[in-house]
Amino acid sequence: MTEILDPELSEVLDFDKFGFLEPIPDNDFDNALAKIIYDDCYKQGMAYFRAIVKQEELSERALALTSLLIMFNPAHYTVWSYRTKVLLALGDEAIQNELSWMDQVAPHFQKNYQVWPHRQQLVQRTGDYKREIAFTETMLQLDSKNYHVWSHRLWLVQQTREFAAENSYTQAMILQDPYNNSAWNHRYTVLFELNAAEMDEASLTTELQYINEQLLNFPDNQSVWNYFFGVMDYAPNHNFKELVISLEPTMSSTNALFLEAKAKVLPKIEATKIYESLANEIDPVHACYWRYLAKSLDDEA
Amino acid sequence: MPELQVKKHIAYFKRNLMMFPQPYQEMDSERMVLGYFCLLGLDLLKALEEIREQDKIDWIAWVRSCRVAKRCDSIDKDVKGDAYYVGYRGGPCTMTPGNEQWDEPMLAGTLFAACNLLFLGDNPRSNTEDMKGIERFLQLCLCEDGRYRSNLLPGADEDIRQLYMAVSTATLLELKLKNVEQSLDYIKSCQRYEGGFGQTPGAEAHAGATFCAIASWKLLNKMIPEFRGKSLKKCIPHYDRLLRWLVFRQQSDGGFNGRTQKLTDTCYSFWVQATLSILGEIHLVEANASRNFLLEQTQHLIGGFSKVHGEYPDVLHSALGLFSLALHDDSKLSDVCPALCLTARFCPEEAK
Repeated sequence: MTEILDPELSEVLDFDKFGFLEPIPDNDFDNALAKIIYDDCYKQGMAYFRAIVKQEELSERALALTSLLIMFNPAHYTVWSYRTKVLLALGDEAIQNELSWMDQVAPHFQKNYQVWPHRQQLVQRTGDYKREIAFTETMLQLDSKNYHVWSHRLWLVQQTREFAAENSYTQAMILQDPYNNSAWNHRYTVLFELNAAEMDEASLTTELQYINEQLLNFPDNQSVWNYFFGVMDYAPNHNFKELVISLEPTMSSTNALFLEAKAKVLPKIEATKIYESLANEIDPVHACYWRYLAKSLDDEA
Repeated sequence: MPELQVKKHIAYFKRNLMMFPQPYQEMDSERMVLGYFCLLGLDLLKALEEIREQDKIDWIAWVRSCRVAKRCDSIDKDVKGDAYYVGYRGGPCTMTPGNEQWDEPMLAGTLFAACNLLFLGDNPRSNTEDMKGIERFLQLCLCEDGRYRSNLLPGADEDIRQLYMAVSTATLLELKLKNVEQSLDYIKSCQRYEGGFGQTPGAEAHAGATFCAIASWKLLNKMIPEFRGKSLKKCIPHYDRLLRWLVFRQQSDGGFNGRTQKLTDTCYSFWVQATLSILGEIHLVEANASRNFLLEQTQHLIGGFSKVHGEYPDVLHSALGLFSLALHDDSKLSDVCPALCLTARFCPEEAK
């Protein structure tokens, strides 16, 4: 390679300490599909990465090189895979440093898929699930609806089986933003699926009261309404119609979500009128759907 | 009335095929997918024939150069002796000369290699030994619970997206999958109380995951003789809830979001409407509002479509934006097959 080595790369590769490497340039076609303009440093870095992988070098410089590369290309799964192996080889201190480093650069990896299985493998080695749960909370402060983070938290909870904390955490997140559907979903998964055994009649009544309170304060909140319908699957002893009608005094006459619920519990003629007003005035964006529901009622008869 | 800027979009995809600008560096391991979005985009615009013959030849060679074949000891041996599994890389940057253990085929690379060969006029099924090899690769990627992993390296993604890509690959290349009933069970386990499907069991209902679930379900039904004649709608538990959730993705700006109470984004116009199309329910959305959103908000001055209004276009949102329009029979666009996310002419009948 006749190019001058990028200074940052030069420092990372530290030939004096770790020995010389023969870079392996990429041998891509001249007329390849989907050619990309690369940063020189990334391109050079990849040439040295191939050299390091060729001799299966699991050293500190291998780690540093992968750090550099994932900054340029956070989605490079081969680099991530190799990085995981290097860390597991370097041992516990390196793993701890990795987790700390990731905390710092977390904003950089918010949309990243690869970082999560990577962290899962590391946490399975350290056994420090508490730290990992705390990490998810840090990430959720950056983006409270991050899909990867909530999935990661769910995975952690499935390992620790510490469900009580999820009850309070989701309540806190809902307090912060009642319209956060991810928080509601997580709550449902833990309370009604993972820890369903503890959802007795008393807990269910409490939960329905919680839902009621949420609906009073945020009657236009789709997340609560969806949650409410989902919870009713587990509440055969509770009268859905009564619960819906009891909300009426507090609901605006143009609340589409409430009207939809009402239409479910009223006889055909009233329900059809509701669907018509939803289609024509209140929620015309979904007009085709409301008319379809009205027609389905007709077809039923 | 906003118009679809056909010529601009064709030029946009061609520009990118000449050279992707530097921000695409983070897609370096997914160049096969980048190629797919451009070729799909051009085919949607009926402009594939505008690609130079030499480019087609060179790109076919490039795609085929991404092929990886590896010995597999764990699967039933061939009559000939050693068995190989075969697949394609997402791009040459995952090659590790001198230490091949890291150089594994990718599920996404394999699927989109097949698609790209079709677009470029080649036959992805031309090598029958390779077809057996890909079948073995899919089998190796199959997990115990019926989902699939993205590749055979540790730390691979395992979720409903991979399941969809495996099922799609098998359909396109006419391969057999194992444990199909188990995969159907996995899909069912991803359905949420909201009606939509999450990426993994328990995860939030998401339009992309829901597309993967329903498209896979449709294609898997075709693989089970007793299910072939079945109506897909009748198979899905809480069908009315799924329908409601899908329809409610459409927002007052005409665009679609991917989860309850999130923002609209061009690609969800595709994930949601393609799912509805597969179910035969696309008439339940406001087609004009959807079209206006795409053409007025995210169709870009320089060609292509962006994720949201005001941002630069990218090839994913461009291809999926066009596909969304094609789902409503636009005469400027090709007929499409939503289940395989391809133009109809490349798809087997049962996928349509």
